[in-house]
Amino acid sequence: MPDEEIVQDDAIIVEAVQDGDTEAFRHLVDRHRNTIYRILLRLVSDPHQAEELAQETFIRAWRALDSFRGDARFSTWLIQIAVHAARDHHRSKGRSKLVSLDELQEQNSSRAQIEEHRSAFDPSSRLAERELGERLKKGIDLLPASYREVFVLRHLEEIPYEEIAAATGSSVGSLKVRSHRARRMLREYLRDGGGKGRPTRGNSSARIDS
Amino acid sequence: MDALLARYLDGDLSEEEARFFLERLEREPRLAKELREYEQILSTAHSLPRTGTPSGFTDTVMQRIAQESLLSRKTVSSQPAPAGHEHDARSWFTWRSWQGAMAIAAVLVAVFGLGRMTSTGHGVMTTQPGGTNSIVATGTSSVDVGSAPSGVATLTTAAHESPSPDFRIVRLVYVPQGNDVQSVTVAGSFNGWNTRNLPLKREGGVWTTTLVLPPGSYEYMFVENGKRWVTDPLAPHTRDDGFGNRNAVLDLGA
Repeated sequence: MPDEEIVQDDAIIVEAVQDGDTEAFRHLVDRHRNTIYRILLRLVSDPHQAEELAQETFIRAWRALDSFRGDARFSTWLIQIAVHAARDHHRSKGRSKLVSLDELQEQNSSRAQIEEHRSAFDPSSRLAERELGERLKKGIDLLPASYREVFVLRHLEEIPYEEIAAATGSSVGSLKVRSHRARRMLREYLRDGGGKGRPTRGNSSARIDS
Repeated sequence: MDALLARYLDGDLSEEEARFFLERLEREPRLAKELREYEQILSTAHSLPRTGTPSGFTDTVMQRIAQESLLSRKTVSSQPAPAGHEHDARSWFTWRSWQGAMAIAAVLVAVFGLGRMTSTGHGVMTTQPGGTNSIVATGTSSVDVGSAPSGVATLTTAAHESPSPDFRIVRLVYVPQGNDVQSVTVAGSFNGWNTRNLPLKREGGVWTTTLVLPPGSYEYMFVENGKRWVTDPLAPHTRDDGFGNRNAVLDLGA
């Protein structure tokens, strides 16, 4: 993630673009494209859609760049645009997303029968790290959108809560609550062999403490 | 307890709360197991492949922008215009993008060059393809990173072995030598060499944190002010990191 030097350099380039040097915008794209693409890939879980939305993000940023005053970091501002692009995408594709959820649920339950609900955490299941990664990705796809957003931004891209708050318009407190609910749902999902369909909102803490 | 666990995972516990939490961990194997599962999720999340955009991404964006700025002009001239006053500056630059690109590249090199000169003594984290991080020293800083005159750092495993054989509690204590230290974190193979998510807390001049780790062999370094990489001077073992520095090695046998 950007350290202070990168933030400084971003500001210099933004100024150059605002002063009319469109070509300088290329450097901003190059600096941030991978992060923005990865965020969108995890938010919409489709490489082609993610690429299209990432391009859309930079084009929207370019159009609005004159209104960018440097109150926030440029990277935070870009993430804000990307998050909104993903939300718009989900809104327009609402129905197909539900269908794909059902499909995933079916796939998972048939696979789960074969695997007898082996917990992904069970050392005896000898899950290769990569396979655990695959299951985690699937679990992330199945999270409710607002939980997925904060999990992806905080735990995949390691963006501080304060910046996520600026980018999403939520308070740090509510982000932390959602973040932990996401973690809890993922844990239950992986413990049940990633096989019971959608991660549930069940309260695991009661079980642990009792 | 879940709230305490959540705050632990976000690095929000005070020293006192952390101690209370660790005591609970030692008494309650189920809680320790739960924590380990969460940590496994987070470390797996860290190590997911760091995919990037397909090739040609930037060119496509720039082409779309160029098209858009052409379309937005009221009158489209059929020839590349010289720097006429009547032309929008943005559009003009797309006509002479080559020269524009060269000029900006030179400016950036100057800016970066300056940045490096002033960052003497700082290690720089680079992400390698495949998601593994490594430490690379830039410019004049290469000597400083490995052999920095650091303070006293000690590392001890908990005096009493934890009841569960599944994890070890490790307390890290670090005393920096300089007085310009605003933050200390530990970055290692246990957290994907992340320089932010394992902060040490200051108690007087001493910085500490406690880690709960499954048995295994780990490498780590301390990071001052988010930038300066320091090898633990009191580590019993160190290992060449392949980039001219040495990582401390922490062996937590099974």
